[in-house]
Amino acid sequence: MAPMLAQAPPDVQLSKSFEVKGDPRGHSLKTLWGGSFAHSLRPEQILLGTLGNLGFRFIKPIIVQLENREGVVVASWPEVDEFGTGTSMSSATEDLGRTVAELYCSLKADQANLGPDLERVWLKLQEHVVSRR
Amino acid sequence: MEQSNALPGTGPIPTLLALLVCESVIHDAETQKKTLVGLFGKLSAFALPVLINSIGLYAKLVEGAGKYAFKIRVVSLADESVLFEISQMGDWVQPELPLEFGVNIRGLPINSFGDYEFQLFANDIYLGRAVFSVDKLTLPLAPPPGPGEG
Repeated sequence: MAPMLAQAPPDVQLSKSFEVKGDPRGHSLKTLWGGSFAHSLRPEQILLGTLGNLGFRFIKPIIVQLENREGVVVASWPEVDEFGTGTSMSSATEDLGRTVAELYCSLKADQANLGPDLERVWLKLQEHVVSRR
Repeated sequence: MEQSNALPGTGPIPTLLALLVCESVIHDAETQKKTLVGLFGKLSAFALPVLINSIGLYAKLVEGAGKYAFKIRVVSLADESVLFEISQMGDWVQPELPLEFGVNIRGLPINSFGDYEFQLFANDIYLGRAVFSVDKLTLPLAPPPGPGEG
């Protein structure tokens, strides 16, 4: 007789279905179980919890400022004076994530020789992000 | 020393391993296994507005623990307007194990062709996205009638 397969552990009971009700051309759509149509546009800031790179883990989210400059979305982290650009919030924060990851690696490689400004940036990075390597 | 990624009053920030768009996520209640049906990145429609009869989102996360308010948004990348938003509390009771979930949405209205994305947040912290596009479906022109036809 074939052995019984081990049962997978139960996960969080999030798996659900949502049904959208209403006129798709209207703005008064409602969904069952609490889904909603906000019709809001891009926020002015978000809490970023990913660099888009599994080599890093977040300790604390970054408060990212979002603005539109001549049709380009700019995602900036003023505390370390870094920014990323893109066509949307997501693509701009991905670009910022790449920049921060590169900055982290370069400062880590040279941490014994950092001046006061870069030392402050290095400490700030370590408040938020840790490398898995 | 192992650093904790705990936030005051919240759990650690989870790492998103996978966020996939499909036609439907089937959740087997007995084994807790998920079956993803019809993974896709592009939909085609003849005309607008169109309702997407069934669209599913599967997420797999690691390195979390405790309670989270998960938020899923469907956003049009043309103007970043939010088409759909749902929030759901989740309790991550086994931190050593990944957390995975699936959400199915029936009748999502699409009013313009272009790119869209699912965005995933945990406790209002942005974790990642999955993009799909809705394109106009055009049929190829019929070939001209041959000699002796029509």
